[in-house]
Amino acid sequence: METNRHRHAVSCILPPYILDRLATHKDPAIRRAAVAAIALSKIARMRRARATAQPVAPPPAKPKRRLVYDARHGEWAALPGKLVRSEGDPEAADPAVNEAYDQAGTTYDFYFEVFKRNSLDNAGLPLISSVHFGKNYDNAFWSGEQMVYGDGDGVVFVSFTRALDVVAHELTHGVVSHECDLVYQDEPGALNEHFADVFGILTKQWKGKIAAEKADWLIGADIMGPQPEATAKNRARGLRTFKDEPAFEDNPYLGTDPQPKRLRDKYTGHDDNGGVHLNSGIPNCAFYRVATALGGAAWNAPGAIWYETLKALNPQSGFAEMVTTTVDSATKLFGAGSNEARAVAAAWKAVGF
Amino acid sequence: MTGATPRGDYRISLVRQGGFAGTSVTHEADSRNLCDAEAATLRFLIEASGLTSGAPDVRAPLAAAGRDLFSWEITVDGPVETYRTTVREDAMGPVLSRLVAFVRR
Repeated sequence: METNRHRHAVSCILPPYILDRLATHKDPAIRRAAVAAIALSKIARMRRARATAQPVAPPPAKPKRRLVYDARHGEWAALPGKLVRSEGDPEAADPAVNEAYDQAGTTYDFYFEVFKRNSLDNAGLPLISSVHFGKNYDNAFWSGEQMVYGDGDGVVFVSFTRALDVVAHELTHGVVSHECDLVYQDEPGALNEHFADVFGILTKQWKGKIAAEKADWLIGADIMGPQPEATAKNRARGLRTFKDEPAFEDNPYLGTDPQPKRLRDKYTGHDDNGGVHLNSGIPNCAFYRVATALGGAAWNAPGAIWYETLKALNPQSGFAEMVTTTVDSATKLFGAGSNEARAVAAAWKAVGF
Repeated sequence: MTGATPRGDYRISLVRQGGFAGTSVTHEADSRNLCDAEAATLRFLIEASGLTSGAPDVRAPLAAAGRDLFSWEITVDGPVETYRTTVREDAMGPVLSRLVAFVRR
């Protein structure tokens, strides 16, 4: 109750610079409230802007703002943790802190330079990360307000901050929530995961200047641990692949990659919110086909088509709407009958639409 | 504290789903295969967690708009009935969290 009162009061009254200051306060309850309020105030600002239906001006060139906290192996009650690095601070001694800071910065730069987007909300939302969540925690997630990273178990997974595509994936969940806000269930949920994977892999390719035909198209390659019981043949090189093949087979820890790559193989059960991490494999494979058909930098034409689509969908959009919207976006951006529009249509057809 | 008698045996299965990886991981425990002290702890935690009384120890999710969070499908085979529930990690109450940690250990 006390925390809720803090949150309410903080989010309603205080200007952003005070919230930024409170986000570094010594009292953890106040820090948590301030971090939540920063996120809520941005969302409220965005909603107000939408409600007024004014023409959208290009975002100002605003410097990125990153805050990295150390959860010190605590869990929910520990978030966000102790502030250990703010924008412009020198490197910390802790590699996870610097990785979270640097990867968030690269993701910000990717969105700004490729799509002229100013942070997750296109209005300069601070990028808040907490590292060292839990003990040997095998996960990274977007809480709705910030990114949270575990250290991994050291066997199957290492620290989740190590991988740029993982960090960009989590941040893209924030972008999705500020755009079409796809619900996290069934086909809309699979598309939510798909967009996170697409812009995650594109951030990595953009950073490395890797052309589509040269890229590995693996998600999570840099967080895979030593897997001592695996052989050279069944070692998992990544968690997912955009390619029309499994990312791993008969792995002693993970089994065989279950992601479908064709509509006919779509998972229809209830696990994992209706298979949001499974069925994303189908549109992922379509994106890979578009990118490799067009060749070169996938963040250019394919990225632009998918970004335009992300802004055009709605929370309930499913696969059928995704197909038509990407074709419409390609036509709008490159023209009817263009190579880009034909590549998009052909890719969807190849995966069963 | 309902359901089983103090000597009732329980078998519990936890399936962790979702997360960034989207993979499933299963953990199991059976009171018949544990030493007396551990079996008693398992019984206590299962019954105190409310799983067998239809009122599991859950709270409002702390990250309602969260993405890539884990969820746990929990199945308890008791002396009389089977109880099943699915709960997201950020909605687990303290007793349920202790039960999950105990079984994972």
